[in-house]
Amino acid sequence: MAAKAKKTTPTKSKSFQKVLIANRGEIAVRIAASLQEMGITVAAVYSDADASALHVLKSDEAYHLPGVTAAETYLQGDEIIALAKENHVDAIHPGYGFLSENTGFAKACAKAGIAFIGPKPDVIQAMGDKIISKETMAKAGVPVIPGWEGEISEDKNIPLKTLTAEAKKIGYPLLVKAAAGGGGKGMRLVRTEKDLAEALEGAAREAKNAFGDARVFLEKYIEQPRHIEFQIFGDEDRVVHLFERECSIQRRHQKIVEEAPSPALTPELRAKMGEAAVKAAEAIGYTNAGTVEFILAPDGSFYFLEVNTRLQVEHPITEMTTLQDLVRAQIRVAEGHAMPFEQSALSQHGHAFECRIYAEDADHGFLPATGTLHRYIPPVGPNIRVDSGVREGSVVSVHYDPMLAKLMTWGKTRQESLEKMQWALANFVVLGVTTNLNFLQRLFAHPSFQSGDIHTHFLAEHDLSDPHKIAPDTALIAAVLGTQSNVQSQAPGSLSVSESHQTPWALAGSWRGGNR
Amino acid sequence: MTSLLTLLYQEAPVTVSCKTDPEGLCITLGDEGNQVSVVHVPITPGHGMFTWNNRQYPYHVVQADEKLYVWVAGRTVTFDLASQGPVRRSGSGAAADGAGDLKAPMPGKVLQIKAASGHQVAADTPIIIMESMKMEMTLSSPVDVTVTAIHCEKDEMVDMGAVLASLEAVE
Repeated sequence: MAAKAKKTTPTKSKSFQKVLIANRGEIAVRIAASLQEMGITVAAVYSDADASALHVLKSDEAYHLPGVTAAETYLQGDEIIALAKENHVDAIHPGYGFLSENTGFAKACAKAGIAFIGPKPDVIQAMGDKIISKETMAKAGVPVIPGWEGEISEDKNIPLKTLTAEAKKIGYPLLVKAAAGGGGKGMRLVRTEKDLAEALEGAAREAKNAFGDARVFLEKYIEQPRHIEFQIFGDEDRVVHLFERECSIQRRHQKIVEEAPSPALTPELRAKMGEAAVKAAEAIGYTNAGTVEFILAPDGSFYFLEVNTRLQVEHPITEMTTLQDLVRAQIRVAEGHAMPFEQSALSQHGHAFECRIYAEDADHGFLPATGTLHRYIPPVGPNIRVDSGVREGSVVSVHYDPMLAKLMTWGKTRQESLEKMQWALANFVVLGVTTNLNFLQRLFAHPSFQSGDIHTHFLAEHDLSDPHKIAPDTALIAAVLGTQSNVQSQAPGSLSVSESHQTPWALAGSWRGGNR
Repeated sequence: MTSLLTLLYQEAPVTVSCKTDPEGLCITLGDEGNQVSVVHVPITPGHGMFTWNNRQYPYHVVQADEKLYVWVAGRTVTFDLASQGPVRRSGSGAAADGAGDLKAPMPGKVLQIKAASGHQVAADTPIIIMESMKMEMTLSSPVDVTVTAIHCEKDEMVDMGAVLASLEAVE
């Protein structure tokens, strides 16, 4: 293969001068950092609503995509490629979501002579189809979940009777999943036969809306499963894995908290699953960064779930525990270099947690929240990493994902990392939009979570609702003091603020004296 | 100087007042009139620290969208401002009770209207399907109801709390 020669022929590799990031939010900011460190010019794209967004402020050049909704802007592949050509962009990094797993876009990039920072289009296509990917993995000897892969689509109307019979064969509970799916969209859990018809209809409709593809399939549902995924990385010659992440804490089938390593894996099971992940990646000739997701049953058996052909949201915890920069590696490999690590040299160090900070109301069904971030102060401290997509003054709208930032901590042990996360959550100030910060604090304080006894239904089975039915006294005191100082600051002569700086300290001395 | 604040916490009103006297700040909490003495260190507008029972509490306070957002020593607490009247919240998309208004639990788009005015709808049967941030949400009633009016259109963008349908409990 010509590709084999590439490694020893450095002339075939090309250094990127300018890379366009076809994304927004925290991932665009994170990718920009690695590019700029490497001396590569960063080009951003932005919608009408994002003209002053953080990812634009962090870029070197920025191109406007007229419109507001994702469909009008960040999903306009042709327009993005035209902008890239016009501005002499060498490569496009798609981030996650949007166009990252769009085969047509990856192909169009290649056609336009622009490198797509990700796997090859045919791999994206094969793995993007959950039915084909499952078949491919089964053939390669990777364990898969029992299910029925016949296509259920609008034009191919399969009688409900047939589906009911197939469902019975698999056994309840089962999942109806979108063929083009991901991120929990187009997915329905069915516990009894009477709910099957409604679930099929709902899943197909959601899949059609989210992916423009209404095809769905059935799959056995494993009770108390853990979600374990392996980071994979490939170049033209080799595939390696960078160990696992456990992502069992989910709501609406979407991840909220991830950790590495998984408290559930023994070294033997880790080796076995890592081997399966590499086998899966090799079976499809995987290049660049990707993730092989598995379901781990309580008995230690594991099944292939899907391959995500992109950089994952939760990649930082792998970076923190393997001491690698995955975005740098992605760029190097896309430039035509060999990947900068070998399996034998990779190991896991310590323990990392990630919390996704969402604009949502955890006490009211995790409904998305909107508004303006009037105060936004991320925590700073040793071994704390915050990947923010927003800044103070950012507006959180209905048009894009409600994730504001990712908060990561690293510790020598799980316990140390956990304690650090509790501190970091308590020191993250976000005001003006409801967030899940309080909820995450309650989760990290939960004994079962602390002992690592988790599975994907953890949030459904444990009550983590706010136990405080009355307002804490400290919040009331802060409310009255905080609104008072607002009044003060508006009054002419701001001296009152600096004056009051001294007085309370003087008072504190005498007041404290009474307690000595 | 005395300042009085009436707030809503989870729909219940609560008052707090603050009086400056030579000894420091005297704060009166709630209807029972619990009095506490604190020392206040204002830093910037809406941000400062107070000392209470020998413990320090840094805080941030922001007023926006008829709400008072408070962060105090690690906890975030949201109050509704009392002048606006109680905000009715509905849990996970369902109407809080059978009768009354079916409100949008989040801002978003009306995807489907499954019932028409005059229709009788069984408990937990979809009435309206909404979409926000690419997630679908089914709105239904926990009891059997009659739909007396539909106040939205398919594909309409609606604000959080918008009345989408009027319902009447079935006797």
